[in-house]
Amino acid sequence: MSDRPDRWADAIAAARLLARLPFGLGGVRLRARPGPAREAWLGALLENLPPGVPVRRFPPGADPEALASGLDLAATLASGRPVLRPGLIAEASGGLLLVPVAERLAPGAAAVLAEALDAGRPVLVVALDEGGAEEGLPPVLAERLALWVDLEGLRPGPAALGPAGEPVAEAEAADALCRAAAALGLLAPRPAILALAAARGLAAAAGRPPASGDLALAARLVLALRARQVPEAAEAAAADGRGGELSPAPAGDQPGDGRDGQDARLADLLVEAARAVLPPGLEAAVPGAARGTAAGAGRSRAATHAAGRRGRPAGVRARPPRSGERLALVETLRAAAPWQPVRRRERPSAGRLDIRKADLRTRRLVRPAETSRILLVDASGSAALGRLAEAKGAAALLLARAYARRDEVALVAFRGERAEILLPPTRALARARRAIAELPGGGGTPIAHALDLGLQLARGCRARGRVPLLVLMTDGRANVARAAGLDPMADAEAAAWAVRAAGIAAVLVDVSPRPRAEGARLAEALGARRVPLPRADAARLATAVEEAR
Amino acid sequence: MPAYPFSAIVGQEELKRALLIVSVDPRIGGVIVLGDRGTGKSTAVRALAQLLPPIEVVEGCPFNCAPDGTSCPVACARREGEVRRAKVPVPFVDLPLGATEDRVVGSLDLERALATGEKRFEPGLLARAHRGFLYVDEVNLLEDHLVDLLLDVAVSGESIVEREGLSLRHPARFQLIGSGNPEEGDLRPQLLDRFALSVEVETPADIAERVEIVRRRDAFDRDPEGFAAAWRAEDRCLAERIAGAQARLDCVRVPEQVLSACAQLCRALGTDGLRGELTLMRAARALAALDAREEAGMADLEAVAPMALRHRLRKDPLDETGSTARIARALAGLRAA
Repeated sequence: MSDRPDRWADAIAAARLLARLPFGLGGVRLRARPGPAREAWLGALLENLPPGVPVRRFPPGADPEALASGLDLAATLASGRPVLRPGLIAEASGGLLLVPVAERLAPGAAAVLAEALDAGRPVLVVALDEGGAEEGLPPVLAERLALWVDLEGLRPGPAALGPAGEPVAEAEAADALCRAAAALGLLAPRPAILALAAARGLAAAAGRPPASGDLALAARLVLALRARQVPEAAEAAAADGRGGELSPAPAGDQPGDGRDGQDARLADLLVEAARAVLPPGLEAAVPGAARGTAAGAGRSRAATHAAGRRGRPAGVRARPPRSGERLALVETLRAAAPWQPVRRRERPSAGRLDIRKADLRTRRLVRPAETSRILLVDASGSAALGRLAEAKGAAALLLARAYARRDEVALVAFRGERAEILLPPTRALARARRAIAELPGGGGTPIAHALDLGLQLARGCRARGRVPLLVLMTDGRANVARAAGLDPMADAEAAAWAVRAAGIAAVLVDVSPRPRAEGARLAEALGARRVPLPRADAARLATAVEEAR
Repeated sequence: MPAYPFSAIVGQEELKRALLIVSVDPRIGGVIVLGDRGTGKSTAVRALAQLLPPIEVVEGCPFNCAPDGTSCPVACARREGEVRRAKVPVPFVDLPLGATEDRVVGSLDLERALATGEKRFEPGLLARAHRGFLYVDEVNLLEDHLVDLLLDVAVSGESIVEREGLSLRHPARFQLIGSGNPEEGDLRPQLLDRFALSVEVETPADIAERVEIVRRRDAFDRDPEGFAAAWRAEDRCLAERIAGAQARLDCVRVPEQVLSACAQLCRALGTDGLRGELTLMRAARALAALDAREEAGMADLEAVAPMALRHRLRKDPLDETGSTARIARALAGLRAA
């Protein structure tokens, strides 16, 4: 095994590779905040580019239409005849397209870029992902960018080339990369395909046939940050071949099965190379839970979708926009266009384009009130003892209803010292179902924490134009307060008042074996309807929640 | 750059079969492909479009009109003088996520209107896809009203435009191919069963298969022309098979026994409506035609049953039991009866 790889040297190697314009690789997803490291990296990329290569920026917030060729509206209006402008993709052809603030890239724009890459357009996308955004870089584009580089915590410094290693035969390279990808939980072929192309590009940059050092570097640059699971330690997997336990792939896939000793050794080397730069947090994550969260694919996508939901365009109104409304520019022009020849004759002094008040059109959006149900599930010892299983059943039933109504669902579980968001608002039922099924029980009952978290989520939902509904499933016996020394019950009621004051609708599902005063007081504070969980009748519960909306 | 050759696709047998079936009989309807990212869904669909024989159109017609067609809204085929014919590849249109209704349906030709004041329709993606394929990646993330619109047109074969003072209808018969990853947002059940066939793409579990995929893709990326040439003979064979099946389709008989098995299967599975039965029958017939047989048999029915029915089963959305397993059980029951 080699020493811990120098991540800065890796990053610079990626920049140098890109500067050779390997168009098949699609580009790079550079995770870095603005700062000296990012500047140095971009500097390394740009100064190594051959002269005359176009570099264009896709400004954040620009219309996705700017990417494709089309009508230049401003020039058209100024000149009074159609003026075409080339799209950014065409302008950047044969060079780089920089996408700053890529984590906020609109799904539409990402799809246009992905389509261009699929069609083999000679352009490399440099997505500058500053992180932090809930949405993240849309996966449709991210997965097509071969290199994933993370500059977080790095300082610019000297970048020495890594050792070349042993020469590797063509056939071996593909095999080893596939095995390494599988060990990292990457079962779709694309990552391995991109890694192989990257390895070839790295070798060509060094002016030699592919060697094990190129493959290891490709594994670090292409596979590591995509990893969906922590690979078993190579030795353990090789020793008893039980690598398959944690992975969804059959055990036969693991590097340890020794179909070909040479390939397996090389694959182990690649896995080790990737493991050394695995994203932080993946190690700690439960292998099962790492699925989907590691690459952020599922979560970020669901959130993007929700964030991108506007009202359904319901046509335009033939009247000038009032405050807060938007002018439907294109429709206005369309309305005015047919009259231009007549108006020019009538009033030659009016300039090239004569738009009158009667032409003005206003955009009309209809936004159906969509609900986000936020389930706060009590998984504390007192609840677990009695009816956690039933509460889970009821939560599952509520999910099914939410599914039928196309509502979003978020899931917060609370037990022990604090509450935790198991699932941010999403419409992906499969994940919600899994999260509920895996919910463990035991510990204290921090109701105040849960309500705080629920309130925070509810505010987020409301900011996105959705109608939040809190569903608190608990026995009401709070015994953990937000701060030491507070009476837990009084604290819970205070948190409940805050929810009520924010005007957020709530339902309290009382899971205690017998009705108790605490539940009633909490429901009172929340301004919520209280629904005792009737034994073995989860259907009635779902109906009750339905009515409470 | 040529597209990746269809015959060079490793594995994905069900996806390939579904695509071949709808190319033999376009009346069957659309295909929904569900599965993980990066498993070659779009590669397969693009490859198919390239495989099909070129179609004959009126040169310059924005609606891909057939020279003998009469339904063209601009009446290109009936204009003065003779019609100039042209052969073009089967249209393959990508509908990007975030496309506006304007782009999909078409709208007033703004350039023309500004320049000359002429009111002319600028066809949208639906017109461009006429007689070809409309591919919607991530159909589960497309705004619902757009999906509704697409399915409406896909079923009726006609797009009706009423906007900006324009009023026209034009033919838009295309194969709607949707793909998506159910982990990232479910498709509304009402929409699901309007796709005729549903395919579940799985990531290849076998390492040797994955290695082969990677090798072929790598070979293709390095030399697309050469790779395509190496597979040309096989692609041509397949194209001939499709053309033969299309010619033969109307002569393929579906015996009473198979028809009644279709009905029994749908009843056993409790699928609603006749759409399931009709799809089963048509798909079985297309499969028989592909294999150059004159009669559809029980084996054809069994081969197409999962893809024709799995998305039509009434199911508890929380029940993990796969639809495919339930269909297999029903088929076994049918055999035993």
